Amino acid sequence: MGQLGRIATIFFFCASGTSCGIFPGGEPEEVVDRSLSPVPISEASVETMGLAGARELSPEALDGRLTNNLDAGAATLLDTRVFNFAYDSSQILEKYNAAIEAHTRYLIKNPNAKVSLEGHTDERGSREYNLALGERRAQSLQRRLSLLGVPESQVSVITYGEERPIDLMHNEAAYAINRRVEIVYR
Amino acid sequence: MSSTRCYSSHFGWIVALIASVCTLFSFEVIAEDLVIKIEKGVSTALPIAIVPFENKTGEPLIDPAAIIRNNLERSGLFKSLPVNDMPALPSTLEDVRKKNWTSLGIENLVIGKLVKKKHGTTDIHFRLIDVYSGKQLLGYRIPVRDDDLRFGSHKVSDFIYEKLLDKPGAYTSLLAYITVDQGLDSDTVYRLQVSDSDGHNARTILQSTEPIVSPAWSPDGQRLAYVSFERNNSAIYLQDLATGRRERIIHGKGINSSPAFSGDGNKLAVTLSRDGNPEIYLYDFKSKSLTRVTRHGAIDTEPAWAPDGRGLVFTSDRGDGPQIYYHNLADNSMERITYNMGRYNTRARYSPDGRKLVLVNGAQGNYRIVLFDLQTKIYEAVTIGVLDESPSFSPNGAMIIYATVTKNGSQLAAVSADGFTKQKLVVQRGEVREPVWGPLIR
Repeated sequence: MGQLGRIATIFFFCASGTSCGIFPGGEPEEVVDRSLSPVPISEASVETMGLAGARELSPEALDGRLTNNLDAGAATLLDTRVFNFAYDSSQILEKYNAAIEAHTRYLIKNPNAKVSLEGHTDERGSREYNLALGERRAQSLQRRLSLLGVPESQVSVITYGEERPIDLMHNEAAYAINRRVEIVYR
Repeated sequence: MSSTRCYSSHFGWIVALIASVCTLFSFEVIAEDLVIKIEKGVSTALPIAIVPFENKTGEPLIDPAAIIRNNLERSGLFKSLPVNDMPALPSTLEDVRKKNWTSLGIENLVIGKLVKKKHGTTDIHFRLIDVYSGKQLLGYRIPVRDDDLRFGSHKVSDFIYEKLLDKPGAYTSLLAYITVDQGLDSDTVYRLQVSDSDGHNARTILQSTEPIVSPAWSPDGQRLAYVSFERNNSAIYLQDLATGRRERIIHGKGINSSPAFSGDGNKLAVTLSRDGNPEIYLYDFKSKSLTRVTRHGAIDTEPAWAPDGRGLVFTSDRGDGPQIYYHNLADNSMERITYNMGRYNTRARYSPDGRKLVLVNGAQGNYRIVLFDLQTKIYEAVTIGVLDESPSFSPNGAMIIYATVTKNGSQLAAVSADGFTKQKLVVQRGEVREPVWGPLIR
């Protein structure tokens, strides 16, 4: 029931473009019906990758694994879960080197630990291109971890493009915050 | 209770069953309408008078004349006489007095009435009259369900538009778009909605707490393809509008996005990064197989079919910044389209006649909608926004619809293809983005 195609079942009296003075009779066979059926909500998990949660994560929160082996300095470095990028760039900034090395050491020492690298962009430009740009950023970090010796099996990549901004403002400061890769421990 | 049941996460035939139950209790799916505001019109518009339709049903029904008036005005190509300025309100040919209208410079007059046929259905009678010759140009009776009077009015609008401008109207085609409700204390809710071309009759056809992006219409207007992140990665879904049945058709490692139907409806161009970086592929609905189109280490995405079906334009950053390229499917040759237009040109869509592209051009931090003539290579900005995106043509080529960021977040806007008439399509709450105009249903 309710096919959009039934739009075509409208009944005419005179062919379009012709002149006619009166409306001849005749019963319509069918009324215009174009109801759309609703659809169930998607399977989306309520669990979000909100940054607030990620920031709260301490080394202890990483399933409690190997926290004993971490000194205070390493713990602080491991707290760095967000890596920002320059406009239209997927180059990892030098200031993150120490933090990336700390994550590398942690992942190597904890072969069961798995991370997801989530690539994000600012809202400017087209969404689909930004989806690709977000992936390129995440891959850039993935490559770095791999070069440093983290097994590929421990790292996965996902891009959200501009769909998950942290800062909802539309200005340069917000854009700088939103251009990022997040390391999410699973 | 019933709404919870409706929004369960079952698939396949169960969905169809539940969906049909939902039809009976569909209070949840009625969404807030878009409100359209005209910002700028032209003085060369065609004068027309659309007299309020006589309501002979004895029931309080909406007046089709008001809807038709809004529709025609919105095109920027008509200037309708305000009801208060009308010298008379005829509803039959015999009542029309030529001088009443010619003295006001009105050449075209629309009169009509609503007549009850049987319970629940109403006939819209209308006539388009050339006042000078006194001749009727069009006269139809359109039977509709009472709750579909708006749609019947859009049908009347299409008749008038086509008769007077010799081009098809697009009022009966539908809009699809994404709304986003950024909850402060709750989850962000993404909705895929479908509305009439004037923003009314908005209905949610999918709702999720994970992003929904890139809706695309099938050429028959019965299905939408889109990208949903509901299973923690992008995947491409196909949903039937009438039944609500949906299928996850493409999902793999990396990006699964940017669906675009071929004109014959047999193929879907998509962007997949399963081989390491984003490339364009063709998905064949019959064989369910994928054919890779592009091979390049750069980003290749946002495919759009040329109306002749012989090739695709897409966005690639293989040159200096993202630019638009054309891929010829017959001989696999490639050609860069955008030159000397700055370092940011993305997401091109063809005009229905295939002569122009509409795309996003970024320069000096501003992202605007640009119209590009494929023959002359001349381009012109048709918007002056700072963050404009997702442009596409109406199916008759008369309007370009796009998303624009305002201080209230993303809203929709439309501009006539000549750039003269602008309008905003606004929702009261939340954001609305990625508008796509459905095909003409004839």
